[in-house]
Amino acid sequence: MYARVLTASLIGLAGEKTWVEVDLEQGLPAFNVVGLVNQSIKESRDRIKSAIANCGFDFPLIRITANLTPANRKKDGSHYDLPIALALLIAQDAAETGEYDDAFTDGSIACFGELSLDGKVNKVDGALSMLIELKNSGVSAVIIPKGNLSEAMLVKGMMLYPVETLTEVLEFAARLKNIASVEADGNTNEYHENSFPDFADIKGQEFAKRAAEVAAAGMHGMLMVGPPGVGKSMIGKRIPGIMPALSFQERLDVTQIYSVAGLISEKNPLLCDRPFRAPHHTISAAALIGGGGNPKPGEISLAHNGVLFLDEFPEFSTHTIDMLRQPLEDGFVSITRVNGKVEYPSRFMLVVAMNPCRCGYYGDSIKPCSCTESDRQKYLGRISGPLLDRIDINICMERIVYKELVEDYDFGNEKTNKKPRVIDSRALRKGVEAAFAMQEARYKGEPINYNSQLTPQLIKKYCALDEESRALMETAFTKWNLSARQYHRILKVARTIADIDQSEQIKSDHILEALSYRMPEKYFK
Amino acid sequence: MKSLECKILKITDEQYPAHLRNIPNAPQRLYYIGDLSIIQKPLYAIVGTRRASPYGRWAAYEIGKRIAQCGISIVSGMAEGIDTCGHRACLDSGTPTVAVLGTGIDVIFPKSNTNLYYEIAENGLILSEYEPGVSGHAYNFPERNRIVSGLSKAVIVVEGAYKSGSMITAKLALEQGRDVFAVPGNINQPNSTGTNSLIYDGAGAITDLNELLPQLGIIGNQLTISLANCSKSELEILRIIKEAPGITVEELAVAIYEDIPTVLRLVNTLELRGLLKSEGAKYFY
Repeated sequence: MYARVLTASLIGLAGEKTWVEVDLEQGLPAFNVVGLVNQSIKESRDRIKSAIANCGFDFPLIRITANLTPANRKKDGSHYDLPIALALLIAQDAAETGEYDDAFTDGSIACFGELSLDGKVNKVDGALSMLIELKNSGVSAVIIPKGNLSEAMLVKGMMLYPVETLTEVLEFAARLKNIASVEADGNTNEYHENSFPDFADIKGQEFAKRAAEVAAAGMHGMLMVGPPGVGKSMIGKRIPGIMPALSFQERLDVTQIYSVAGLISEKNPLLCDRPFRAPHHTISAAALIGGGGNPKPGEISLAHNGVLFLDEFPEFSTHTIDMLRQPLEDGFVSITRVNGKVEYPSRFMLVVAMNPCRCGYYGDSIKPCSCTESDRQKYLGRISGPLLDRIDINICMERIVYKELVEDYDFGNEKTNKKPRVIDSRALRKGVEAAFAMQEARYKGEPINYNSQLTPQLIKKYCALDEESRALMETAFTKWNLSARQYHRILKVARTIADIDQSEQIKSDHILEALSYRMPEKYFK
Repeated sequence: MKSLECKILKITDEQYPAHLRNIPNAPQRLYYIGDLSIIQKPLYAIVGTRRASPYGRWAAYEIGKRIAQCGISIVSGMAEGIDTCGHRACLDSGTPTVAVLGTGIDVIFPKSNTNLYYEIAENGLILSEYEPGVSGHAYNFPERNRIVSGLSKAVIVVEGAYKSGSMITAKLALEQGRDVFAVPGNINQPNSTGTNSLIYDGAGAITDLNELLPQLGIIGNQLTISLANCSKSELEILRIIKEAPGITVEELAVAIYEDIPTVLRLVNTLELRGLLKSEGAKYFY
C-alpha cells in the first residue's frame, strides 16, 4: 500500500519541489520518517497521529515508512505535516467510499500545511517561496492553509485551495466534497503613498537633509555625528521615505524574505514600503547577519532594498559590525551551517549615527564636554576603519538654535522675491528618483546598480573629469592629504550629485559639494 | 624607537638662559634633549586646558601658526588638548618647539603624544627638572608651569577653567613679570571662565588674528591673505564667518539666502584656497 503527494521544501529563500511517499507494510507498529529530516519533522509523527485520530479516522497499527525525496537534502519545517498525513490516509484508503483523484498522486496538485492535534491546518512560514518554486516547476494547483491565502495571492495564475481541516483535504482528494478554489490575481493592492514620516518635520538641519538626499540617491552609506537630540534618528527614519517606490519584482523579493522569516502580516501580505530596520546595539552577530541551525535571514536581509539604521554606532560590538563588510560589498550574504549553505540577498543602504564622544557634547555650543582627549579617541577608536571606508557620506551635525526651531525655516527672501524652498520628503524624493533613473540607464550592461557600488575600474569609465574638475581634485588631494580611497569616495559621491542634477558630465560644482561629505581622516584615529 | 641623548644644564652654565635664571625659585638643573640655542631668547607660551573644544583647538593652532611662521618658537607643556595644538602648529610651520615636561625627561605622558615627543626631540627641545624615570604627580605639573612662563616673553592662555593649571601659569607669569594674553570665549562655557576672568583682570584680549602679531610685539613676515579673485558671494561668506566664527552651513544659508548645495560649494572653494577652516560642522575664519 503506497501513495505519494507533492509538496515543497525550503532552502534559504529558494523553494524545492519535494515528494512525500508513504508505504504501509505488515509488521510491528512503527512510524518512521526518513529523508534527512530534522527534529521538527520527526515530531510531526505525533501531531499526525493525533490529528488523524481526532478527525475520526483510524491510525493504522502497522509499519509505516514516510520518505521525503530528494532524500539527500536536509529538511526542516512543520509544513510537511499535511502532505505526510494525506499520503498516509490515501495509502490506507481511509475514505472508503471515495475514489481518489489521480491529480494528487501524479503531482498536478501539491499541498503543504502544519497540523494541529485536532486536525486543523495551520499557516506556515515561507509559503511564498514554495509557491513560486512550485509554479516555476509547472504545478498549477496547490492546497494551502487558509492562513497563508493572502500571501499566496501574490503568485499570479496559481489555483489555490485554502483549507482549514485535514478532513476537508481528504474528502476533496476522494472526490467526496469540493473545495472552493481561488485563482491568485498577483497584485493584491496598488501602491500607496508610503507611511514614513516626512522630512518637513525636521527644522533647521538642512545640510543633513541634503546629505540624506545624496546618500539615498546613490545608495551610499551615511554616517551622522552629532550631540544627542540634534535629529540623527529622525533623519534616519525618514530616509526610506525619499527612495523611489519598489517595483513589483522588488516587492516580491522583499516579501519572500519576510515570508521565510515568518514576518508576514495576513492583512497586508505584500510589503509595499521600503524596509527600515533599526536593531538595538546589543544585537548578536547571528541576528544581524542571519543564522541558526537552519539559517534564517538576519537584519541585513530584512533590510534588503531598504535602510539598515544603526544608532549609537560605537556601542555595537566590533565583532558584529565587522561582519557587515562582506554583505555590504557583495549585496548578498552566504551563511554556512551544518545543514548546508544558504544565500540571502542583502543590498541595503547603511545609515549609522553616533555621538562625537562618550558624553556626547564635544564641540557643543552650550553644554560643556566632560571627556578628555584620550576618552574621545578611545570612543572613536571603537569603530572599525574598514567599515568606515565603505561609508561615502559623512556629516557632523550641530544643535540648532531655538529661533530656527520655532520660526518656520525656509530660504525665502522678500528683497529678491525668492520663494521659500520648503524641503519635505516629496521634494527630496524627486531628486532621488531622477538619480535612480540616470543610474538605471547607465548601468544597464554592468554588474552594478548604484553609484555606491562603483569599482575603481568603473570609476575610470563613468566618472571622467573635465580639466577644471581635475585641477580641483588635485588641489583638494594635496591640501587635505586625501588617501586613494577617499579620492574614489569623493568621485562616487560627485557622480551621484551630478545624477541628481541630471548631468552626464561631472562638473566642478559637483566635486565641490562632494568634498563636504568627506570625513577628515584624522577624525577617527 | 631610537635612543635619545639626554644632557644636563646647570644654573651656573653659560647656556642657561638669563631670563629663566632670574625668576623666583629658578630650577637648579634641567635635563634636556635637543637644541639649547632655541631658548636663548624669550619665546611665546601657549597654554590651556587638556579638554579643549574645537574652538580652542582652532584658536591655539591658528595663533601658534601665525607666531611660528615668523620663525619664533612656541613653548608649552606637551599635555593633551591646547598644548598639543600649540606644539603641532609650530612644527607644521617648520619652526622648532619647546616642551617642558612635568615628568622625568624619558617618560612620555600622555602616551598619545609619543609621536609628538619624538618629533620635538628631533626638531626642538624637551626640558624637565625631574630625575629621569619620575612619573607624573599632580603637584609636578603646576611646578613645571613656572618654567614654561619663565622661558617666555608672553603667555597666551587659550582655554581654561577658573581653577586650572593654565590659571596657575598665568599667575606665575605675572609674578615673573611676563605679559599675559587670553583668548575670550563663550561665557557659558566652564573652559572660558578662566580666560575671560583674566581679561577682566587686565590681560590682553586676543580679539583679531590679523592684529595678533602687532599686539604681541612681533614685527615681520605677516601672513598675507589674498582676497583677490573672490566672487561677491565668497566675500560675503568670509565677512559673515569673520563676524560669527563657528557658524554652521545652515546658518550661512539663511544669512546669504542660498540653498545648501550652493553654500557647500562656496565654503569648500574658500577652504581649498586656505581662506577659512572647518571643524566638524562649524566654519572659522
